Amino acid sequence: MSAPSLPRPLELLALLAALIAGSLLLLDGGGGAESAFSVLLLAGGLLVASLGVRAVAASLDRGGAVAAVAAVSIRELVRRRVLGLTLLLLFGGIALLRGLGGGGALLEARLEGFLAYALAWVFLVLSLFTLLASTGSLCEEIESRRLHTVVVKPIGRFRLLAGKWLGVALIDAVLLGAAAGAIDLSVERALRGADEGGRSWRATHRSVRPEFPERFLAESRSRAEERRANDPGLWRALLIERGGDEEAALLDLQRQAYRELLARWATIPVGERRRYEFSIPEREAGPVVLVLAPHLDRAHAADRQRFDVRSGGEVRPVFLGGGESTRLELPTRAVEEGRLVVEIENAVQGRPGYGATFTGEDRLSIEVPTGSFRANLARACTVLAVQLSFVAALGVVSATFLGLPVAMLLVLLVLLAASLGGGLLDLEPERARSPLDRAIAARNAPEEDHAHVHDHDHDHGHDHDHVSHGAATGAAGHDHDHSVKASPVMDILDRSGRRLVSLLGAWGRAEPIDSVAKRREIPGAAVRGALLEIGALWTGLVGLLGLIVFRRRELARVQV
Amino acid sequence: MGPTTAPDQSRVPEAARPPALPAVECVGVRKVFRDFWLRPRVTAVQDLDLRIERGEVFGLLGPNGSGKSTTIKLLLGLLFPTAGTIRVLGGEPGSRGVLSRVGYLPEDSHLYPFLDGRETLEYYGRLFGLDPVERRRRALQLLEMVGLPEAGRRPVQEYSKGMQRRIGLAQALVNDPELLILDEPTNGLDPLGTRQVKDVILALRERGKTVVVTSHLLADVEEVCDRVSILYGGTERLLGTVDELLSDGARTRLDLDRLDPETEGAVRALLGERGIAIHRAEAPRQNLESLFLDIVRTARSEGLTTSGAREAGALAPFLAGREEDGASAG
Repeated sequence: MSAPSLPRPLELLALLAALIAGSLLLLDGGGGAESAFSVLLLAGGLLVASLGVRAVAASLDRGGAVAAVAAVSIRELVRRRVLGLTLLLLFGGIALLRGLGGGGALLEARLEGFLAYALAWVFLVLSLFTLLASTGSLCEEIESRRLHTVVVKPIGRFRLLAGKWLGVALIDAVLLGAAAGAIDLSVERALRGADEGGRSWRATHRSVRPEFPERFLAESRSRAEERRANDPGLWRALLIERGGDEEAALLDLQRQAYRELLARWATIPVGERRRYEFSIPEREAGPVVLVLAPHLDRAHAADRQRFDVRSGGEVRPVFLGGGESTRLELPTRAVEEGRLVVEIENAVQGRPGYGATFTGEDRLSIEVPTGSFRANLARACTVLAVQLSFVAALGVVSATFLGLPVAMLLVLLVLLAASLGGGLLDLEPERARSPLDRAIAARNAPEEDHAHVHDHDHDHGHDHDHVSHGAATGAAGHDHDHSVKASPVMDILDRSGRRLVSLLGAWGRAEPIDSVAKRREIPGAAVRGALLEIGALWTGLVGLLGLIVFRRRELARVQV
Repeated sequence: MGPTTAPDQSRVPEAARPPALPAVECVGVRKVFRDFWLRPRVTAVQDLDLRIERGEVFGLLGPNGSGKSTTIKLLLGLLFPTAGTIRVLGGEPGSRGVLSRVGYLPEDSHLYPFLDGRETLEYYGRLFGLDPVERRRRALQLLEMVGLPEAGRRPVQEYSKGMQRRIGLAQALVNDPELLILDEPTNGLDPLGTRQVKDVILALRERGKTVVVTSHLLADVEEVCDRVSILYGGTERLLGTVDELLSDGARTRLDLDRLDPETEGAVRALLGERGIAIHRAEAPRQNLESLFLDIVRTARSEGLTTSGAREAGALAPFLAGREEDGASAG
């Protein structure tokens, strides 16, 4: 079978357009150059993606039955012009979004906006394409009974599903690669002729949050014991709640004390100074930047407050606004043997109500240069490709037992639930445990679990924020403790719910689009996590479901 | 059997042959279709016992809704029986081992409209695990056989219903099946195509293949079937050879050259003397099928062209067991 792609005339047209646009770019550096570049992006993207699909289809022609089904799926998408329309939308959108915020906006802000919207657009278009391609093809074959002719061949129903999935997943990978190329070219074009600051834009950073002081563990314990002695009424109430378990009740008090310590640690009253320590990962050349975004007690739009930042032997005053993020380059010598210490002093004098709290996402962190934009884009695309391949698997499997509209709706609902999974994660007790609980769990766990817990925090760092948030609000008593007796049904429901939320959290954990836009390094662990959790576990479970359902699915209806 | 070769039983000594398993065996098969709440809705097949021997052409007849297609789908594993057992070529219906030896032409051809004829046949060949050279060779031979060599590069969606039916027949033969199941094979075919389907069935029988045909066009079945089973309401009403079922022992038909009036009178008188009644005596008319075929052949001999199917070729060499001939055709 001949390898399919866009119709030859369209390919030739794209080639012609790309050549003309390229020539204009070379000849004219003036006002028309940007338009010519957009045309080049659109035509070149179409051409490259088309050739990529052709190459994939040609390679499938040498495979077995799974490859045969995949190749026919690709032919269907090409010949029914679904692919052509998708390519136009994909590269047309990228070309148009290049002009986003053009003119007045700063280069950095422009690039951040472009990347956020372009990647979101690419993912949206490819998600819809995947949804349509995966559900549409199989649903139609079942409805039209075309599948009768295929399943009576010795292919096996699972291999049929695998072939359908493979065809869509491969096209997704090709299109995603081509789109990433177009985005990268756009960024290069924008950075062309940029100054030093613009050139350093190509580096990505890892965001590191301060470590919790070790002494809080011991200090919270002694405070808890003190409170037990001083407040017998509270202690009795806790004992009743915990069914007489003294250790559990004491742990409740320790948690509360720990939160108070954290809240104090995250808050800098007027005239006071706090010391924050950071563990610095292996880094690339470039400055280490302190990011400060405090919540100010008396802040309003025009109100700025002075803080003195001490690090590496220097004292630097900064004026911070409430809700604003301020970046401060730290001296290179501030980092010693992989550690960095920052002291922040609330330098407002004589105004006691002007406290500051560093809570929530990115309130206090440092950015360490650790990689390149291009590598980060590649990682993001890997995660997105894994997500799309899961959507394809879900679409194919849904189509085995549902009609087209319902199957599409189901996939959309799962996508929505997965996308919201990251938000639900904030409410999930397991993840929101205090550092105290994690420290206790790590101490009780075997060596490898301990390493995992530590690694996890290091890679993602979100847990710190959850805790800080809890500390600031003073929330108490919502930690989940398995020693509390509950009915077995409620316990199962509770565990299942937490497991589900934890599973759904895998979807947004790597935050590929946001990370690329903000040049925040996507950790290797996040990519591996996406591959394992979404690529292997989710997709595998969905495939297994498909196998179970489709193996015994009757493919004919009553006709008498 | 692998997809390419069938064991030639004629070369195996009689004593060494295993006892022949029937091609199809159904015992007490029942199929009940249920609604969403699993309440019985329709009983399509009821207590069906069926035994189709290897090498025979078996007709499954009955009016619309009698359970023919349901029975076939049960044999192919597209449906699962509510009760009873089914064995096809000695194995489970729908198992890969069995399906690799079965060819199936559904009631409607159900082809991929965006593939062309040759791609269609090559695709199905791939699903049978044929190597690229072999599947290409078979695709070309089959296109030639069904009279569509020029249309092989046109998308199937541009084909007429009869042309699609021909490609459907070709795909059912791509694996040189031991058991060929044809559901209403002449549905949508012109007399030329119908004639060809019958010829293919007869040629396959010559090679010892088993063919199961369903139809409500009884004349088509009568010509090719060894045995027929007539279904009604999902149950078998009658089973036997075509000769057994159709022979009328009470009558005799003579087919003579035209008699002049005098001779005809003498014959009538003689038969009258012996007390034999003549129910019908007339000059026979030409068969409409023969007339149609004559007209088409004449048009073709005059060199008139058509975008549709052309005259079908001989049985594909790989189906006729002439592999060496076929090798040069690819």
